[in-house]
Amino acid sequence: MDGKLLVIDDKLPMCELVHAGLSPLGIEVTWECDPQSALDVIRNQAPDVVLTDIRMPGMTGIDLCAHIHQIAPDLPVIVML
Amino acid sequence: MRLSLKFALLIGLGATLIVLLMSILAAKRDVKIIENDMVRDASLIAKVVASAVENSVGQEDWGSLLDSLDLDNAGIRVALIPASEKELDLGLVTSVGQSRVKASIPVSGQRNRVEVTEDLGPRDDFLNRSLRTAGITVISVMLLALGAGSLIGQWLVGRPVERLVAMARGVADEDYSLRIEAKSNDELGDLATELNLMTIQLEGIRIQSRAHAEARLEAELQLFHADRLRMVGQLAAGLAHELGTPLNVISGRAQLLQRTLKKLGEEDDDAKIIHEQSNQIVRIVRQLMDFARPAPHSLQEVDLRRLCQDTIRLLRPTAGDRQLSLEGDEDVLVHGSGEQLQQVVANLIMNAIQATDDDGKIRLSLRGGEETHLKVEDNGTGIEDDIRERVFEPFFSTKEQGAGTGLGLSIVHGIVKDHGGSIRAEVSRLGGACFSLILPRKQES
Repeated sequence: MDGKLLVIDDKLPMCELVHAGLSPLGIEVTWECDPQSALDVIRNQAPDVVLTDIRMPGMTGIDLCAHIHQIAPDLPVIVML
Repeated sequence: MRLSLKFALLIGLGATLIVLLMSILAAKRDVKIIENDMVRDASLIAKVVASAVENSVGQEDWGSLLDSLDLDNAGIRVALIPASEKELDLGLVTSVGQSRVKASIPVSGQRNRVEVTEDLGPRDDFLNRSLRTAGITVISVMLLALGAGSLIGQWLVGRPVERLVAMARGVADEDYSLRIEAKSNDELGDLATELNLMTIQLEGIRIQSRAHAEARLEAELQLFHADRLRMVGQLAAGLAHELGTPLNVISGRAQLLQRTLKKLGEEDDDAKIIHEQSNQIVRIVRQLMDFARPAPHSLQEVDLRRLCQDTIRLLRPTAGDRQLSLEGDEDVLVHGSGEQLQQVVANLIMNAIQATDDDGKIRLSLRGGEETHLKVEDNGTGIEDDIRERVFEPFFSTKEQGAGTGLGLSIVHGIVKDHGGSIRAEVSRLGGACFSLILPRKQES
């Protein structure tokens, strides 16, 4: 299994957990703690899937979904409640 | 002093004064008559004696004449006294003195006058007798007036007033059920009628003010309860969010550790227990988040009977041998969130399951109409009277430490409130607890 997953969460341990859990499966996991800079990462690195927290300082997961949809309409986004 | 006694004294005193006055007047008049009689007697005797003396009654006959008249016994004395010229011209002279009546008349042809004196003793005796009789009469009248006055006063005034006083005391002690019979058509009767009206009004005011006070207390309690729930809700939401991430991380890491150890062939329960226990905390936190959930947003017509049937079907495996039944009206529709209402029904059934033995009875009953009534009752341990008000408080649990979060009924309470309804904990006719829910047919927006 391969593919690029971008984790967006202001809490680093959560990002690291996803990395630890999915990397052994062959998935390339990168993370971003600031939703604003995450949008730049999406533009530049074009991940296959985005996993985002719902509550973050500055922007909620739902708002982030709307922004992502403008940049990459076909990019699947999973929101963690 | 008692009012009736005062009346009696006044009447007695008045009557006594009148009797006394009349007695004195009568005695005076009688004394005057007696005196006049005595003067006339003395004058007559004097005339007779003077006439006898005039007709040459000799000195020797004087004594026998007087003896024959036997005047001494009657207290009458007759004397022949010498008189001056001037006195001879006076004719008949009468006088009433201090102790005697006197009558004198000149003897024609002689220089003498016949003087008759009569003791006023009989008159004084009569006066004394009259005064004694008057005294006895006055005392009798006084006693009679006192006695009769007291009795009549007691009957007419004393007893009615005592009843009024007793009633007024009762009213002062806040007994407004007292009524007094207004027998007489007088001022006291009017007073009794007014007192009756007053107590009726007072009773009305008391009922009204008690109702106001109870309503206010109820409102304050509700406000207090709602305030506390809201505060705990906010606290829970914050806590749930802050705890959620680290707990997920712990749980996930424990799972990874478990997997790694398994690969290394070092199977160990430690990681498994950490994983399970952190999952338990995650579940509690999720309940906390439920508790702090926003108001229902997807409202629809919910068939409550069907919802109850579905929930019972879902929980029947958990219920074991317990008898789970649903009775009451068909087609009971409420406006609300089906998901949340199912959570309510499920929570109440779960509580009933936990409160009953394996062969327990759990009964749901539904009644439609203007308001929808749903009862979930069981024959389990029931709820103690003193904690019935508290069961909806967050974190209040009667289950063993760790067995429950104490949030289930709080969540139920919150959802029901959000639907514009109310829920009460009661005593079931089955012997255990009864949760009685009322939901409005259409929720006011």
